[in-house]
Amino acid sequence: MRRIEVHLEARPEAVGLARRTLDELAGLVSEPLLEDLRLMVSELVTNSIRHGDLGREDRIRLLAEVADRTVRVDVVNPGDGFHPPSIEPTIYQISGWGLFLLSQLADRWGVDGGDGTRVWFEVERHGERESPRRAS
Amino acid sequence: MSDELEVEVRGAEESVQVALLGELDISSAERLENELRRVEEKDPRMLVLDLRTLRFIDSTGLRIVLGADLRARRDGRKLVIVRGPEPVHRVFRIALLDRRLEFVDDPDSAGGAV
Repeated sequence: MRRIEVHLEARPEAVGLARRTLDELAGLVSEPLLEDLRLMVSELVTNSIRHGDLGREDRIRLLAEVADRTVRVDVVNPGDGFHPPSIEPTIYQISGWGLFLLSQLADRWGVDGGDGTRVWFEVERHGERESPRRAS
Repeated sequence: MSDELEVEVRGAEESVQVALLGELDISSAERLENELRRVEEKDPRMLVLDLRTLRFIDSTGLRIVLGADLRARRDGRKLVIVRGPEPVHRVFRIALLDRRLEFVDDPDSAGGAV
């Protein structure tokens, strides 16, 4: 199990930084899967930049967890703590192509409200080359 | 301002080539859009978008390419895209745009494209 967590400044450059963060997983997951992760993370962080109503002090939290069978990624925007969660679900804000790509590539994905806005996805690792230590 | 994407414009008059180098996402989207419109304003007969040196594209980039395609159709201009490496082209494929847009393998084919 491998976990990564970074906090990114809420600016457009965060999208590329989020992709660079995933470079840590090279060698741990297959390259095709890593490409999928890069693309999906780009979509989610882009969504945060576009619709998160974030200011310069805000940080976007990127969490990635690589387990035996799945990879899970969460992108979390800060809530401001003063206003109730937006009535309009974030899901509708991941507009058009971004949502479509996510739905095509992720095995599961979702949006959690609450104080902040969390968008997450999971990808199954089946089909990847198994570790040599596993019994065949 | 992002330094992740470079845009190289070559040619003039009838056919202009716009080559993308690096990675295209929201941080470079506006700059690319401006560059494309600047090229389009000169009214070339053909615009060749060369993605061979592009390493990454996401839905933001797709939208820009689609915008260029729409404007080309509107203006009576030909837009041809030189296919990028697999991580780039697969995004067009997943979005079912690999058939809708005109792709070639190299820029020289663009001239002969019907």
